[in-house]
Amino acid sequence: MKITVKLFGELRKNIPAYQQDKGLELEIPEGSKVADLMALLKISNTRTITAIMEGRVLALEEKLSAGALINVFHVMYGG
Amino acid sequence: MKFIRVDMSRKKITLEDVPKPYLGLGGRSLTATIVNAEVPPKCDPLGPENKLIFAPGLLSGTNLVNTSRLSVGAKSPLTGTIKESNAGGTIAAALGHLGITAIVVEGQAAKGEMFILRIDEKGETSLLPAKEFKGMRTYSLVDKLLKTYGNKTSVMCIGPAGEYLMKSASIQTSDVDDHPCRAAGRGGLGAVMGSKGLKALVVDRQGKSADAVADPEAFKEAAKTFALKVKENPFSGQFLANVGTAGILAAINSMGAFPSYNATKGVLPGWESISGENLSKIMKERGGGPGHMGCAQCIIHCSNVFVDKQGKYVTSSLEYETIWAMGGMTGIKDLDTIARLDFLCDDIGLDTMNTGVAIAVAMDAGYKKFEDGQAAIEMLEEIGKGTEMGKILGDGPVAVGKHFKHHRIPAVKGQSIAAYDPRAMQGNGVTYATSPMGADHTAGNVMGHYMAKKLDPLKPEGQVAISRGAQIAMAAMDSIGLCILAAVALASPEAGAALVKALSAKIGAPLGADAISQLGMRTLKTEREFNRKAGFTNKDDRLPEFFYKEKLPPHNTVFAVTDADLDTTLAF
Repeated sequence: MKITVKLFGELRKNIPAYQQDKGLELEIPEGSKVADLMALLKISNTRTITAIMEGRVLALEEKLSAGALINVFHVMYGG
Repeated sequence: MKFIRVDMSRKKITLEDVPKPYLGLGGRSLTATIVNAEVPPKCDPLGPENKLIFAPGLLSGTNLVNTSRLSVGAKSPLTGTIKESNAGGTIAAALGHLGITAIVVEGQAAKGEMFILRIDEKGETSLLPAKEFKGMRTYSLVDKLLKTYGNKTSVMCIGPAGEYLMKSASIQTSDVDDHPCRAAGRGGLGAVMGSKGLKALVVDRQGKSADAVADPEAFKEAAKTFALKVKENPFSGQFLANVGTAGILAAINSMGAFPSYNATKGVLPGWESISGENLSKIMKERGGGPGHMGCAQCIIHCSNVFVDKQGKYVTSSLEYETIWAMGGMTGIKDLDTIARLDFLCDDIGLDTMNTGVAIAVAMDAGYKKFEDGQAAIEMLEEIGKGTEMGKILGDGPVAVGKHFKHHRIPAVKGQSIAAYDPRAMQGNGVTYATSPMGADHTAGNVMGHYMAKKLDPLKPEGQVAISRGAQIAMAAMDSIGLCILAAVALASPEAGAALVKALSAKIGAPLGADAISQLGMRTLKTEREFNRKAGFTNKDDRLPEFFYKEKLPPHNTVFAVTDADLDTTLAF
């Protein structure tokens, strides 16, 4: 299935030539979970990273939806 | 340990030892204790009985990083409650280097009189007539003051809004580049300063009489560990220097919790154009840029300098809360306009948040159209001139809502909410409702808990407990004088232990691990005691009705924490 992933803050530096307006269009197996996406993005320290889909912060074991936009952030604190 | 009282009625300055009940306190814990002990709770906040207190944090002026934070305390004309408004910049470190524990400004100068309070490098304090500065905006005022007193000077001042006694008036303070762009913004304390007849506090930065640290070696070691942890944390160590607090904007929109168009939407369509990522891109193209050091002793560098297309300075620092209030709430999606609005607020001496929300309420009520940047600029100029409409706008969203008979006023105890909608981040709603300060984003912001997946932001369960914990921690940080963004490092147990060690080394007595939470609880209890005496009850610890009734898209939720639960938040 296809998904679009947008990276924010420092995470953009992990992908050469990353374009913020387009994000990454990825083809991943049906039933893929957040943990699979993190592995694909080579993000190891998942404790400090958050994936948000359809307004919800996802847990690592949650499944991704086909066609979804997933925004990925470092955990932030209010300022 | 110098304690300075300034009687504005008699123009008398008294230097005394720190009174016994105030020993061991600093920052917010000290301002709270003095206000509670010395200010009649039902007094007119703009009358002679109110007191305006400047107190650096317990560790301001030491070598611990990110401790140039100043607490300004008084009874607030905006909320009617006790108030601590917290500012960065350089002045807290300057006062710390002079060994000044607090400055208490009392009484009131005669109407029309205006003074500056000057503290030189030896700590000599004098009250100087300042009629020539009357009506002056903050940037030109600081320019003039530095020409007189030299550039190794920290300034804390009011603009026209403070002189007009407007309820959104801030007290602006200079950053490391001598721009008056840092603010004790909240609670209208600029009006209290104006009511006293005090235009500026001018402090020499070259003081060398800091209070002794009891165990310098232990302090140095603890400070080193703490600094390391601040740098190790990805948010405080890297993210903030590259994107700044504006980086939060994308996350809050992604979570559907960004109050937009006067809190009628949880996502601002087209938010990408005012995101931290876009802000960084613009600044990198034009010059200026993120990664700016705004405050003394800062190793985070969350600040930025925004320049126009010609590379000319517009403002510093364009922060998340300001971009939200001036952009999200008004629908203005142009960073150049938002930067101009930020500058005008700093120059006129206004809280960007209370003022942005006041403009949004006026737009929502039909006074001007949403998204009209020029109209927003004109409204700010009205405030600067002190016109009739300007005075209403300068008194904040409640005054504007009353004027237009408009029901949707996102404020608690008179003070506007911050950039997190309580219907989509229920814990922040608990903080808005129950903080002794009125709605406040630094009193106990729990967005990090949601991003770290600790609980569901949309459900009421568990929100009271996380708000309570955050409020206690913040009351302590504001007392220690530690920047909220450096406090992020306390997620690491080693950083927490290092902070307790640093405090112990400062005072020369071992403190227990619970010393920080005890300090926070004591401070909150004192603040609530004052508010009770001023006439506030649990019934005031509520959000405006529309948050319980109007659903916020996209989640279509309302604020659902019960009154009974809210009443347990700070009941200790």
